[in-house]
Amino acid sequence: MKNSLFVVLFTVCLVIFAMNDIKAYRAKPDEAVNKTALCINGVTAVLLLLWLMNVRIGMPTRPFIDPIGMTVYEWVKELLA
Amino acid sequence: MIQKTGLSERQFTMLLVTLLTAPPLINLPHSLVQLSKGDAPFTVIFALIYALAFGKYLVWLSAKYPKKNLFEIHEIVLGRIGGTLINLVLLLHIFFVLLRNVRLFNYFTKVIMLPKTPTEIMLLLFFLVLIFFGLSTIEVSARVSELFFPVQLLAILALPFLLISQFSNFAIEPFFVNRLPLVGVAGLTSCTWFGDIVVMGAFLQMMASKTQLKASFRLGVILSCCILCLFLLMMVLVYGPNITENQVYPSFSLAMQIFITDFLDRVEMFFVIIFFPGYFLNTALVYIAMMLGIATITKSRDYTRISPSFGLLMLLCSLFAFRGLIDLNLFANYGLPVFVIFIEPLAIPLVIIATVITERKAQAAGQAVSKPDEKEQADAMTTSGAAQGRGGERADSSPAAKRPPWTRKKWAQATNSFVALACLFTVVGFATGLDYQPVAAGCALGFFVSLIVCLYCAMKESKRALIEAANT
Repeated sequence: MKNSLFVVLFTVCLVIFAMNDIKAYRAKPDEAVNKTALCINGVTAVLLLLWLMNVRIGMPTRPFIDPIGMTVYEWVKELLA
Repeated sequence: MIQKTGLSERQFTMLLVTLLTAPPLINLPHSLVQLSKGDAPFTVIFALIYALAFGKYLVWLSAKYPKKNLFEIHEIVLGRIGGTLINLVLLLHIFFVLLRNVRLFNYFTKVIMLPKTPTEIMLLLFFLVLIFFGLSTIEVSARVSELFFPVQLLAILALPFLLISQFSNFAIEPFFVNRLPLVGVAGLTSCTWFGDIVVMGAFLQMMASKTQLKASFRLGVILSCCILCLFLLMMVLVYGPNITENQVYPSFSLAMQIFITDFLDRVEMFFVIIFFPGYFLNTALVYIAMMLGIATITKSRDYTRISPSFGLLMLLCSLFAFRGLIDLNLFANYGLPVFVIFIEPLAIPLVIIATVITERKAQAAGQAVSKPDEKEQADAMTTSGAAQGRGGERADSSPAAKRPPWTRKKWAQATNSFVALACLFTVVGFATGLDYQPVAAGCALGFFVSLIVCLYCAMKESKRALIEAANT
């Protein structure tokens, strides 16, 4: 269950920030920082859509929790026993 | 824009202490005490040595390539492709640190203060402020840090006095009796938390004087270790190892044990309020470091302009990164340390070798890669100044003041000697702990005294560095 207030606020922020970045890009299309900001906005929008569609998004932290973190935790527990 | 900004030695030290102490105080003590029980305060020596070595490496790089941050140095020494690859790994590390720090504080706030507030809203508010900080340079964070850090330090120093009635001296005894493998693992864990020092690599260009940079790193690391050691010691003295290892937030529980009077209730909230800006600045520092890294890779110098969009992306990432507190604890204490243990020892020698090769190539080509060593200049100047009995300080007519003041180098040697002495006390303590407990108790006392003297020497070293840099 998504928090509706969060979704609305987040979308509003994203739209405002993206509009600003588009404006900056149109003013200076050659500047790398404008392209970078637009790329980041694009990734954020895709992630938001996937999240709203209930698609499970894997973060790079996941391998360090399930296989690695859990294995090390069990090893430490054995060491403590 | 990046080139114009600058940090003073004091600001750099404060930021470093904030970076190294804020998240470990929330999560690390529980893990360290679980592994090494009553010997947890002694495990900080591992972190101290590791962070001092890492700081030396960063200062060395900064001396070779002045006015460059770690990301830019990587690109210079390893080339565009190699440098970008190393920078991506470094960015991944900083990304992990940012997610961990944000969620650690998020869960802490949720458990302690705001259990009914939705996580998403808390994160949104947190990131909106973070975005605001990201719109300015690191100087703003440094100035805010100057406002709050003294208050935090005073609060930390006041804690032992406020808790003195709760101390149980029997809780910490016997000393140095735990199994060495467990103490070693605890030491390794503390080292990996202090691996966050790599974030400061993004701000190497902010300090003009390498002498000051070196002194700042050393004072920051030693002060951080002393703070962590003090907290661990207080936890063991107040709760004992068994209760501490079962607490989720032992530092907060420690503040809950302050009973000043009947009408002055919930003093711990006062401490939370004091520590909140410090924790926020820590996150802002990591956030700005990450933006600096992205700006370096994408060749866009003005990182402040990506702050709004980047903040929103990080907000979503932090939301998806952990499913709960157990995930976060597994990641922070067992997953991320593995990443740090494997990545940092691989990346550092690679960069050192590449730097040496680049320097030799440049020397062979008859070019000077590095500028004249400022440190040597400063040392030479101070030696001459010291020989004249002034060394940049106001001349005093008293007989004691006529003696030439110690140079920074001498204070640095004294600091190193006391670090070595603390190590020696730890080794002797563990060697004698099981058989001769009075000797081990003496070693424990010697360890704490060495740390305090070491902090004093580092402070003097920092002060001298300031004077020497002013003379240069």
